[in-house]
Amino acid sequence: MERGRIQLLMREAIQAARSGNKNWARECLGRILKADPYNEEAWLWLSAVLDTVAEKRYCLERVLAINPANAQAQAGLRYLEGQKEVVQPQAKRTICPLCGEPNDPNAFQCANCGQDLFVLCPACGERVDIDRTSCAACGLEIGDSSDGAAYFFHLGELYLKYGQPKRALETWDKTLLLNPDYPRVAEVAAEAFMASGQRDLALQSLERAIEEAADEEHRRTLRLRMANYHRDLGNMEEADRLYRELLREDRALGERRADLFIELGRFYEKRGERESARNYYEMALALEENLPEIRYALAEILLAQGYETRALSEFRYLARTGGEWAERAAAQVRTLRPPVPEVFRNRWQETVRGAGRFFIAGLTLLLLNRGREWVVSSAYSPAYTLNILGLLATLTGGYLLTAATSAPRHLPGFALLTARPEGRLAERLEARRRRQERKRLAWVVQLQTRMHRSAQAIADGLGVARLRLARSLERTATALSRAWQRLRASRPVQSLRMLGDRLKRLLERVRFFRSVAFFFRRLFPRRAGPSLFGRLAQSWREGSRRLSGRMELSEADLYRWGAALVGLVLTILGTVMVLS
Amino acid sequence: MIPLGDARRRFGFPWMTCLLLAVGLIVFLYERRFPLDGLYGLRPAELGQRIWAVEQAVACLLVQGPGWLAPLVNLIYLWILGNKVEDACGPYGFFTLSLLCGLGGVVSAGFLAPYLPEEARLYGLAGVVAGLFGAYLVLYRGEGIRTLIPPVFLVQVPAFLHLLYWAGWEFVHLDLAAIRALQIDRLLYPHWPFIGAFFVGLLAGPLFARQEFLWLRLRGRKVSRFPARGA
Repeated sequence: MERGRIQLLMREAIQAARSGNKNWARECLGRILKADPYNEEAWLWLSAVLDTVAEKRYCLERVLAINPANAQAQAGLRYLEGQKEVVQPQAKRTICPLCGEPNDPNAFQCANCGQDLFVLCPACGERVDIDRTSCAACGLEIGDSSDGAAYFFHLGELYLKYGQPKRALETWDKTLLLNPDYPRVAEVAAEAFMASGQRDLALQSLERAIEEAADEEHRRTLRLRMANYHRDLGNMEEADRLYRELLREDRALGERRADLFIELGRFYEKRGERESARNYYEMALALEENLPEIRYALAEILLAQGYETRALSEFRYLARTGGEWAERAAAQVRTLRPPVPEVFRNRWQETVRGAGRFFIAGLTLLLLNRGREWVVSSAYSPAYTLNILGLLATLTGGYLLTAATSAPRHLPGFALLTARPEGRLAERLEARRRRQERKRLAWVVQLQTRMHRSAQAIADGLGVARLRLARSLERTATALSRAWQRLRASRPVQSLRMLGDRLKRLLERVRFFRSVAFFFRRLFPRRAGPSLFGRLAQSWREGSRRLSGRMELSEADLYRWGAALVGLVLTILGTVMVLS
Repeated sequence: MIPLGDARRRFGFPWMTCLLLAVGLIVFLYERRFPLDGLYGLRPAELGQRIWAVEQAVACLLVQGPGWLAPLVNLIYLWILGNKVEDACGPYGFFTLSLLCGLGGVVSAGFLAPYLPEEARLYGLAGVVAGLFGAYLVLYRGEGIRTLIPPVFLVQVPAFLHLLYWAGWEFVHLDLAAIRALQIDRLLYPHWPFIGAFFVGLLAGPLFARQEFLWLRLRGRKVSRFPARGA
């Protein structure tokens, strides 16, 4: 044990002895004497904290053996001549985790070492008795105090986790006193020092942890953490040097690690070098896709650089994944692309615009075909009527197509199919209809009733058609998916798939192909979720299950598809008529 | 005055403009290498006499005619206006709009055929660009086009001045003899009626624009600029 540590323990022992924590003082002195059996001062203090006369005498004799002129030892021995043995009662039950002394179950402090016989819960701050394994208030698992050093280590980690670094450090001191060689203490202490703002101590502690690290992998992790500390403390040059070292080593090993790329990205982002930061974030994401925080940071950089569309695709990708980052990404998407409100989207504007597009196209073609003739001569030709009818057909078809695709409620009679009011609203509408009927002529009322009935009949007919279509679609989809499953299970297909897998594994083993794959992923990162084919396959897999159960198909859908089809036919027919 | 325009976009990369530009450039180089002698130009007098005039009209839309400077100016404007109009309309909408503008130009040329020389040939790309000018003016009203005025001035010039400047390059034939004799018909290139395409663009621009674009314009936003962060 080094000299500084002995002095530290000596100071601790004297303090404990003066404050009456005899057991703790004994523990410390015992450690000192184990390391340095000729420590005169330690023997002297040990004689003061031991209980029996024989033990005290032994210690004083050892002092005199080292230094026969020690006046305090001589006086002590003279004093002990007239003393008798005192026997301590041993009936306490709560065991002190630090000195192992049994205590009264109601005691707050260990009678021997002064250690508190309770801890404060890291999560809720309530007192937890030392012999309990979890907090009674919040249920946090604290651990068994009979584990000694491990107990205090775990408790310290919990304190750090719940944002109490100073208390964590105090707790780990006890771990080290019980077992000076306890692993990972320096590593976690560095984190606590960092969290409590003691920067130099954090760096020293981490350096020590790096020296003590058992294997190379762990040492690399700690070195990366060291670089991060330097980065966070603003020592950019040192951080840069460490990152470069790690990068060089990884390159020499032919490995690429996402964690290093992430930290390098953060490093460059902090330095304000967005281009490099983006580069490293993209590389990290190429290696590991599921890094929502990094993807978010990347999207923010892209946005700051002006690549709004790419940033949006990243945000949209994130918004689909779920979780906290998804919510933040969705908020970003809403900011960048405020949705067109429903009021604006469903008004007549869009349908009229759609019909207008078709009309202007038809008119241009018509003028291209006939314009010159009409200017040159005013003679009528029957072909002109056909042309103009074609223009009207184009207009109608365009209207139907646009309405069916963007605002189906503008299709004639669509409201009859979808809006079937119920309850009080239905009663009020019925009453209004009757009131209006009374004012109208009889034949008008009759006509209206007939129209209403026909509409109902059409709706019922559509309902039957819908059911039939849904059932046949269900059957087709189920049969197709079963056939596909059978094909996949067949021997030739399976052997082909196995061959493909084996080839893939073989290629992955070759470093060159791994590099090619990596660069491919970097060049074409998977930005907006799975590829088109991936999505198709997914919907097929899901669809084959869902379709066999139920089929969502309403009368409105059927009507809409029908209208779109009619619109398409009319448009084509109209164009042909215009050009004839 | 060299138009530079800007590439601020909101809805993605203008790949349709790039495609049209690439085809335009190839046709341009082909024409320089093998002069077509008006082979693919359209005769206005033939319009409306045969059904295949339509496909002939479509075919003439990318032909740019003789000379160097005017076709190059045309291509530059195709890029500058195209990438903004495509941003507003989407690639397919933009393609249809350009086609309609080109055809509209041909139609107006057909109507004005009596005022054109007999042997005149129409080269259609000017019609497309005129239509894009119309669409740009109506969709991005109030926004100028960034322009380099040599040697060093970089300014926003109103789009209407650009239209006049472009029309000067495209339609005005600087023939000194004709100026002296004040022969108006010789002072203009025969495809000047393509200015009719400009009105087609004015009319059809809002019809083909994206709904979201129109919504943002209605709210008075400059669509091609990024919105303020955290707005």
